[in-house]
Amino acid sequence: MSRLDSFQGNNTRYLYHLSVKLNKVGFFQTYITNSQYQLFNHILEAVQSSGTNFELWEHFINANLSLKIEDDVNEPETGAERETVEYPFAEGTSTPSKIALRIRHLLWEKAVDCYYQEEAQSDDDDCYAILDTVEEIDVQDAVNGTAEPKVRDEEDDYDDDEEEPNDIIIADTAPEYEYNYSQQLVFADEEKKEKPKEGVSGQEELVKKFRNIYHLFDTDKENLAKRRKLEEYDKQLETYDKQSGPQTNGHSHTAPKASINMNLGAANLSLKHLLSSIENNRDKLSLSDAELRSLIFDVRKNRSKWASDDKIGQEELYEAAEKVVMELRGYTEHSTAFLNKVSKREAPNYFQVIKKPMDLNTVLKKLKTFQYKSKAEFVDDVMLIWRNCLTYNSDPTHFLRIHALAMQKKALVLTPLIPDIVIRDRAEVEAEEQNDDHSTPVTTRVLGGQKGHTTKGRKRTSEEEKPIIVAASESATPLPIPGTPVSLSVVAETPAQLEDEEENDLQEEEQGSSLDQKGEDDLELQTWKNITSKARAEYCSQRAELFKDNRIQMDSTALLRYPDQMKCFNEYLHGHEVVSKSHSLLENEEPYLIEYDVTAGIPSFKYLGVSESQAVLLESRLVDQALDAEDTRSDFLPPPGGLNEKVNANITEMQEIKKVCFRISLIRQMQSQQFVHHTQLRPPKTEAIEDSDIDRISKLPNHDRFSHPVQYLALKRSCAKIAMQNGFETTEPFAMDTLTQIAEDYMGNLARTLKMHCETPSIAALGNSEVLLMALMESGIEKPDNLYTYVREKIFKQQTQLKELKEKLSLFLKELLRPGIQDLSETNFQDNSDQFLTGDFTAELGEDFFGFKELGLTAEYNMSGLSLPLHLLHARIHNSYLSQDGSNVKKKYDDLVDLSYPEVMASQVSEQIGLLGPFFEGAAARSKQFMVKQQKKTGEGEALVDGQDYKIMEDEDLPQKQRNSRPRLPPTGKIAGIKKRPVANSFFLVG
Amino acid sequence: MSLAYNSPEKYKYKVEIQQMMFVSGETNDPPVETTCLIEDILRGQVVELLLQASRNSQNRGSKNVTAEDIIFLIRHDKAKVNRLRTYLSWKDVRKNAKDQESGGLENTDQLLEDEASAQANNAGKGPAANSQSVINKNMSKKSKIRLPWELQFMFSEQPLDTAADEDQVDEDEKEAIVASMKRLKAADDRTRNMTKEEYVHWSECRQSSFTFRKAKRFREWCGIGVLMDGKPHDDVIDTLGFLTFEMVCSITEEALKVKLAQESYSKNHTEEKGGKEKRRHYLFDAPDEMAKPIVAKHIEEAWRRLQTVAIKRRAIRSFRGGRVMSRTQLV
Repeated sequence: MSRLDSFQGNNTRYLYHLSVKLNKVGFFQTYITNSQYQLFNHILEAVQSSGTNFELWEHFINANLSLKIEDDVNEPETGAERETVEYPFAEGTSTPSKIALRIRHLLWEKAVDCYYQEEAQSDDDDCYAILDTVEEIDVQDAVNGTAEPKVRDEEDDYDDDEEEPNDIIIADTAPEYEYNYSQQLVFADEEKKEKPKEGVSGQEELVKKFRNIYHLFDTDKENLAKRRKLEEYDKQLETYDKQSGPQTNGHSHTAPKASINMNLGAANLSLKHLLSSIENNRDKLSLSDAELRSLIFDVRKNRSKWASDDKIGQEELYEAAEKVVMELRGYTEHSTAFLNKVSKREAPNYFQVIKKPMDLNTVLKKLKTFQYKSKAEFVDDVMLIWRNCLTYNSDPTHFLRIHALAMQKKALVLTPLIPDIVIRDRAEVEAEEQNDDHSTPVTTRVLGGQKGHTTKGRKRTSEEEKPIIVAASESATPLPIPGTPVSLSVVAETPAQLEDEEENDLQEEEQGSSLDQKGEDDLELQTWKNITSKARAEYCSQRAELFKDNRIQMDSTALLRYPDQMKCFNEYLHGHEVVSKSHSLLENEEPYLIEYDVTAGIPSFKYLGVSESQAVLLESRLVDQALDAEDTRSDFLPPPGGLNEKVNANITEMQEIKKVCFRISLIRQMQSQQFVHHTQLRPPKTEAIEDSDIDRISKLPNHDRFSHPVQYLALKRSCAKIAMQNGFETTEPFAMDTLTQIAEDYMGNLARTLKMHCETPSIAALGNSEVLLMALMESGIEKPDNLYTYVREKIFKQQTQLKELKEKLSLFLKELLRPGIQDLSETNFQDNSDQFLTGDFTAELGEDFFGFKELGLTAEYNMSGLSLPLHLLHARIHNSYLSQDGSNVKKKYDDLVDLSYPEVMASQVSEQIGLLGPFFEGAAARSKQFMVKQQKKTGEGEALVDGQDYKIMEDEDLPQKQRNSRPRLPPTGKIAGIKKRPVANSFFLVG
Repeated sequence: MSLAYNSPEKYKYKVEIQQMMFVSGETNDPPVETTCLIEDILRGQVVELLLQASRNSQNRGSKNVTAEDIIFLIRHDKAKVNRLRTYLSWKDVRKNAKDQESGGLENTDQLLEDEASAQANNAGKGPAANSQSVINKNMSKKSKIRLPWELQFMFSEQPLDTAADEDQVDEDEKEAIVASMKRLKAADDRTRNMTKEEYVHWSECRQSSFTFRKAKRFREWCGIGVLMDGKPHDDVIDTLGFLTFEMVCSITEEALKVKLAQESYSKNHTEEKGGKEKRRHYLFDAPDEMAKPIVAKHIEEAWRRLQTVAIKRRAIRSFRGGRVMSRTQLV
């Protein structure tokens, strides 16, 4: 805790040491803007160089320092220096005090770490070390007895003090000032190079730091709007590209990458990490520059669209230029206004004021059509944009000026990255090359320059010098420590281009109190804004989509939780640093923003879920178990003994009846038609109703039995059964579906009514049975009796009716097929009336059933078998029936003992019962007559020998004529033939 | 409406309706307004019946409306269907008898019975038939009315009606007989204390019909020519005649209930008010408790009650809303 004391006591010396340490680590560079850093560094160095001159530092840290420059600078360099210095800073106390505040803030933030020592993180370890050492120093100082406390006293007489520090600066720093000035430039330069070079890792650091501040959505609306605009323009550009596509294509695809002289410069932008690491280890490499270069060429991705065979340097220049333009466009904080042409509508008199309008998209278009020949042209165009804006909007408070200036700053930072190349024809270069063997080192220089290896000022020079000079100027390699007029003039150049009024603008800008400017002062916030703008815009647009019109939009796509985001969040919860969705921040990726990631607010489950393979495994295990176990009934089978059986019985009854009906109709057809096609003989196919259970797989415990499809099918089966029970043989699937859906609806309503009554909060809640009755009533069943009546009427009564009907119909069928059928019940026919129709069953009987032989029909019709020709069936059947009556009867009672009665002889007539005497006498007379006839035939003589006994013959043995001819009636007793049945559609059957 | 109360062109069945109402329990002479209202309702019902029936017959693919088409519309009222069947079968018997006797039948009921027995003898089932009770004998003589939605017509073939079959009385008929016995009993109770003249009047009233010997008037009345093509079968007219009778009965019964409820309500109401003080009676006062006839408002209320859509029809719409298609309910 002792460390905190120095913070509490505002121990300036301690703070100084701390900041020097931190500065070495490069801590401040990431948090304050360039210019601020320059100044701060300057102060630090000033303090350092003057040994223990802590007065300056104290004033600075207590925000009593005032910046005054003009009068104290050496003459020759005045103009240039003044401008450079004045550019970022205003005179007076405001700038240094701002910096002081910032620095204090940063330093005190370190104090926070002291509270959490145990959680010390790697980079902070240094700080603790620093703290410790500083403490030691403090102790020493304390021993020495310096009078620190005095510093803090005069904050009240601020004005008085102000003069004093001024003097101090002038006095103390004046000599170094000039010297250091160039150093400042160096820093500025390096800073510019370093930032992109650091690239990812630096950004990553930054993103980590973002966590320390809670960002709000405040400025996001603006950000979002700007993003949108950018996207729109992108689209416009795309369409433009398509239009102009063919031209550029012809241009670009021609080049193989042969040129040895290829300047690598522009590739740096995409390969900068590789290059930087190569650069760092350059000494260890044994490769020559040329070799290295060719290697890098290999590494490079495909050649870009800018590549051209004939134009040397085009690829590099254009690639870099494009990147710059893209970066500028992507700087949405400020770029929005400059993306597109100013239209006449926006500013009617714009074109009177501005002769040569320019905007970023035009620049891009020009790039795509290869209109730039050199870097200078390109840079001119870009700078023209901001200049135009500043010219047109001359009002110092105009908001666009702020944007323009910001863009300008950005552009100035970026333009040095473009290699200074003039595009030349290939032939020309080759010719030159032959003369000049120097060229190889030159190009490496370019390479090196990009890496920040060589001069700081070089690029500046190349900026203004025409590219042709490149070789020359670059050969004048490492400029020593700058401070040369060249470098200075470079810095001065930019403002010079900006015309006179610009100076005023700058001042105004500094005075301007807009939010933007404040933000600009805070480097951290600014970078945060830049880096995250895309991510924020995305998050916000998603959210905005969801909450459009101030209410939740049900139709819009939901914000989903993604595994990677969840992982990030989870890591964050566990105290890890989360930078981006992947672990390290890649170049073009958005950083991960917790407070913006709306859907990541919920941590993921501990339970990981079941993977596909696990599920399969589980299921197979269950299957095994199920196979071992008995197959149990599921609830999908109707319980035994219920109504279902009755219904099934009804249905089978109906099917039976239909079979009978088919037979009847077949016989009718045969009566009316000569020929019956065999297809008509086919009985209707019926399938026995079978209640099958659901498949065994669905019975597994991991299958949801209450899933809709399964239940729906079960209901459908029941519906189908009911439909069948009501007489339908087949139904359209759609009809069945509709019916099922209605049933589903109805049952759902019933259940819902029940539920509502059960869950009612009313005091007068009903009992269970009342609830049931009520629900039934509301579903249209006034009383449960109705259900009973339905069952009785529709099922039980129907069953009896069906049975009766079947009986009647089979009787009717028998009647139709009167002959010989008494002894043959239908089951003998194996459900196929063909057998009967063809007479095949006679074969079984093994005799001339129909009496064909007797009638001589076998010969007449040339019949091979004993079966009946169909057309003969009914017409002859009656006859044969009559003739075969006796044998038929015999067959019928074949289980009885066949008794043979003794024959009665004529002599025994008198012995018979008296009552039957006349009958026997008559019979005897007939027999005698027959005998006589027989004798005549055989020629034995006319008369019977007296006394010769003879049998009294049975009636059947007598010839036809002598029989007792009593009329025979069919079993019904009706003489009439088969009744004509009434016409099918008549409804009144008149008996 | 009021201008046409007595116009014979529009309201043709005043007497019949009065008679029918008398049969179904209204002892007073209903005012003209009541009968006219009932007549209007009836006409609406008949038109509705005819329209629906012709739609059905068209769906069937036949041009002519048959009696079955009309019976189909009231098929859920089993008792009514049974009565109608009985009625129609008797009518059939009568017609057959007419054919056999070559017409000339004047007094229907008496002769009808004769004819029926004569026919029974002709059929040659003497001994069996004779052994049965008189009612059953008569039933067996009649041809049976079969309705096409009966179970046996579900199949392509129908058995012939055998003698045994005809003798059989199926369940429906038994029910119908029981029901008709009940009605007869009720009628008997009503007529028990009647004088001879009153009974004659009663029996006359019972025979009143919209169609019997007034077929032409009926056709004009309900505009049957406009509603359907061709001349409808006699059966259709007779069915309609029967149904109109039933309609008047049910409306009157409902109206009586309404009247009763209203009277009891107003009575309770006045009692509560304390208006129980006895009035003095004078010689020429109107009778105290004069029974009031059914008036139009009773009929209207009865009609409203008969037209309410049953829950059964609305149930499918519950929880989902939507309009319940309501059409005129057939009374």
